[in-house]
Amino acid sequence: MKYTVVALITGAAVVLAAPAAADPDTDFSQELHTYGIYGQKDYNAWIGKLVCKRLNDNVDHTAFDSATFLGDNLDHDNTTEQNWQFLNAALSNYCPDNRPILAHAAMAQH
Amino acid sequence: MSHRAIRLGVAAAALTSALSTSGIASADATDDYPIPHQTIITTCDTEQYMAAARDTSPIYFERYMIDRSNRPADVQQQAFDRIHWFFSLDPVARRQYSEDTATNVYYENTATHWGNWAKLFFNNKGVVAKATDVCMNYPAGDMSVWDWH
Repeated sequence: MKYTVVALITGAAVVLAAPAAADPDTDFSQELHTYGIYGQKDYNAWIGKLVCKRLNDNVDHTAFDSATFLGDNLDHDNTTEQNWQFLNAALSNYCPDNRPILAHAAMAQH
Repeated sequence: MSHRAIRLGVAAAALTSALSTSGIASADATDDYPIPHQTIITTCDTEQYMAAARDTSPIYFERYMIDRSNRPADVQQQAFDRIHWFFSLDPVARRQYSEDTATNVYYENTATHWGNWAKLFFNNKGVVAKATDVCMNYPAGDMSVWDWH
């Protein structure tokens, strides 16, 4: 019985540890790769987090502001679509609370 | 005196002269060192420059602000006051300050408390060039640029 409990606790610890060990910057980087966006992983992670910080600190107010910031600071060979995909990934990975700005931007387009 | 001795004497004199000249040159300021020329001549104020750097060199700016946030409040205040004092100077006085800090490592008291206190403003010519190109498009004296969490 005692061994079973220990095994269960160990098993739970391993299961719980797995998500905690995942690196959000790696997840972000891998998502960017699916959009054909490469470049330095650290650089992209800094920029992704700064997208969130600029929204939280009221430097940028809309998704269009964020897209302008990204256009200025990502590879200039990126397409506009890739910059918006970067924005989408940054919001999802680093500050999901800010995701509604994408819906607002979509509405503003219509 | 033989020709050989004369040649050696001339060579030694030339070497001594070269060494003493290079000694002076390395201690002196230049138009770009330690403070970049564009920082010396810009008419932007502290906040205009910072806002421009925030947008044109965002990671460099972020690292400076993180470094700043890890300093004691009095050191942050000293650096804040000192950079405003610097931007209040005219180009001639800024150039003199550049000379003073290049020739005397103890000249700038703020640096004895926080070595990189002016890194965003002085240390990187590329950062300075990009920010001074556009800083005039930002509002002067907008203190919200310091509000960075």
